[in-house]
Amino acid sequence: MIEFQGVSKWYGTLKVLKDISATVDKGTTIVLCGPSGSGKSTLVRTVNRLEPIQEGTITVAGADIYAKSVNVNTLRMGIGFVFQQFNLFPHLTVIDNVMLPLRRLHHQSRKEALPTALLMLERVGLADKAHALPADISGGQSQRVAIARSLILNPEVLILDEPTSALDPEMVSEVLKLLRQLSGEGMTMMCVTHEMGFAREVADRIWFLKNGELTFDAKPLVFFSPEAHPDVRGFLSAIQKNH
Amino acid sequence: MGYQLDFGKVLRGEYLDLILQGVQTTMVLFVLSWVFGLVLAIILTVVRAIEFRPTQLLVAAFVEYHRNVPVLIQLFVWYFGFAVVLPDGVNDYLNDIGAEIGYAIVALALNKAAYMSEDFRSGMRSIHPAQMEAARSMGLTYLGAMRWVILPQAWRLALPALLGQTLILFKGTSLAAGIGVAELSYQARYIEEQSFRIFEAYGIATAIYMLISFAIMWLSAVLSDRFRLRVK
Amino acid sequence: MLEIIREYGLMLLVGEYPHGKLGGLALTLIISIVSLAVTFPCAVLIALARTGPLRTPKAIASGFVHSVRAVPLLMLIFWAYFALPIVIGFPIDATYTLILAIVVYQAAYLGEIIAAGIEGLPKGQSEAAKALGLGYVPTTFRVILPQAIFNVIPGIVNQLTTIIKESSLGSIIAVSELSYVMLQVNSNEVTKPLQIFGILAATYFILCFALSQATNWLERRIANRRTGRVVVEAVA
Repeated sequence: MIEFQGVSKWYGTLKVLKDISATVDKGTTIVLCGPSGSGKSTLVRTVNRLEPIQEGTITVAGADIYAKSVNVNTLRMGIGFVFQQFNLFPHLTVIDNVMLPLRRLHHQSRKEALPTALLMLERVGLADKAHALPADISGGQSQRVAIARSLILNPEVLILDEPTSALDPEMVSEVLKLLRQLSGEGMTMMCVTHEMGFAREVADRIWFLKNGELTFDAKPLVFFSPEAHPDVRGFLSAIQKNH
Repeated sequence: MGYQLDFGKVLRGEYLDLILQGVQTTMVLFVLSWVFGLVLAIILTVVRAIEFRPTQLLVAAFVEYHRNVPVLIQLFVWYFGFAVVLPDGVNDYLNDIGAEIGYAIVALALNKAAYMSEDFRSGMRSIHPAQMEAARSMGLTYLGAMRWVILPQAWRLALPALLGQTLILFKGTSLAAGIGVAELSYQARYIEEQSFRIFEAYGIATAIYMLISFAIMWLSAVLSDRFRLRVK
Repeated sequence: MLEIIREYGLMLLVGEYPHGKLGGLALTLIISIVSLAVTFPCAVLIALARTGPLRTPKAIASGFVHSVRAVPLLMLIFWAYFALPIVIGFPIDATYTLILAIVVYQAAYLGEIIAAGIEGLPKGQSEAAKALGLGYVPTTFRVILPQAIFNVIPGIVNQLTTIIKESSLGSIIAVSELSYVMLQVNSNEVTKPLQIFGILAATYFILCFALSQATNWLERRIANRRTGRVVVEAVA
């Protein structure tokens, strides 16, 4: 579904992604982890062309996304993106946030878009908050609305950049529960997260990045076993100490 | 003191007509300058948002001139200065139709445009860049993101400042008296000169100004509250 | 342009002085600085009334601020210039009436700026002072006001710019400040209004632009100093 081939990226002279090659199969969930500054956020952002790359190719569903013929906006409509800080639009109600892509990208009327959006809100368990403003709902609810908004155009891929890092601890589980549900429904997902319990349980593969390199790519069973790369073991014990 | 207040002396006949004409002229100045000022402010904001140095500098110079020179002098520049650029025939015609009010509207509108465009600009700047990124990430074009995500927030954020400018403009219409526009304070001065009813003439004019100002303040409070953008 | 500056430059700076009264730019500056100096204590009083615990002074100050904000400065100048001499029974110099009108007008605005400065201080400041056993007066004058006023120095300098611009209204009641002088020059030299008012505008522009740049500079410095202090406290 998504293929990285020799992807490299520089910020000026600093090389932040180093020759990354890997594949995300359709219907699988990939969890990306690694120390801060390892390039995991940068890597997922390249899939949506939020970050340009200088070397290599990225294909989504067989098409080179950096090809000149590719319309970046059409590409982005097929890829849902969820940010750490939710980035809901504060001037719109919850339902209007979710409807915005339908109305402004698929040019549906409010009437046409409403049932689809309500259904999506039900799916994330927030139909009762449809007419609330983002300022009036909790962080966990905000992130669920953001996920609903990113799913409304039925994207083939969902990318999540630390979706629970900005949440209070008691709200993390409601978002993870939703992601688990989406994964179970066969959504292709790439998720940057430090939630190792979630990774162990939901991920099909876990990618470990360090200093811009993809140093380890394994199934959870291997990833959490003593055979894992020493960097991974060091990383895991470090985050366990913090928890 | 041997002065007897008698508002009846001023609130009838010719004087009452003059006051009403003054109020009308004040409102014409206010409304037209506000509308033209707002439209020009939007144009200036857009021009300044486009990454092209020369036009950006031009807008910046326009804004700084209008912010750092007294409004009265801006009126003088148009009224006394602009006339010499025009041919005599045009000037005679303009004087016949009462061009002072036209110059006043131009000067006040340009002045407000400068201030209002600054208000819009700081409204835009207080929107987090992640809003633009989130809008673009779902597939909106730059213009689409502006139209549906950034501008609807920007005007709400700028609204209290714009309403403040509205009150300042309303009071600022009195400066048009300085170039002979017969608005409310000009008429008050004229009536005072003719009738020697100082307290009545200025009292009535002041009361009218206060009444309209309070209405603007009240409306501002209502609108600011109604359209306040609550960001977590 | 240069001819006008050569011929009237001195007049622009000092008016008729030394053959007559001081005027021009010098008078504009004197009027502005005196106005600000007189406004300042009035504004502090208004700010204290607005933020203080007593209801009557609060209501009076609020009524004053809202009323003054609802009236054009020109009307206040008319009241001071035409009506006040009748009330008090003797004539006053137009310059003083201009200053008086500006002081009344600006007290409302500067008062709000200082009040905002007081309200912008962390609650802990007055609580800490109270915990030390200080009463309202020493808390206000030794702890709250010095900090609040320091923080709003940029706002005060900015009001000086506003006052300089507002003092141009003196030309309407024949106060021989900068604008009035140039209006007279214009009636002498009827053919060059664009140059004359261009010079007048440029004079104000240089003065006010320099002051607003100074305001920006002060704002940055004070912001740095405040954040700097927070950092020092956190480390200590």
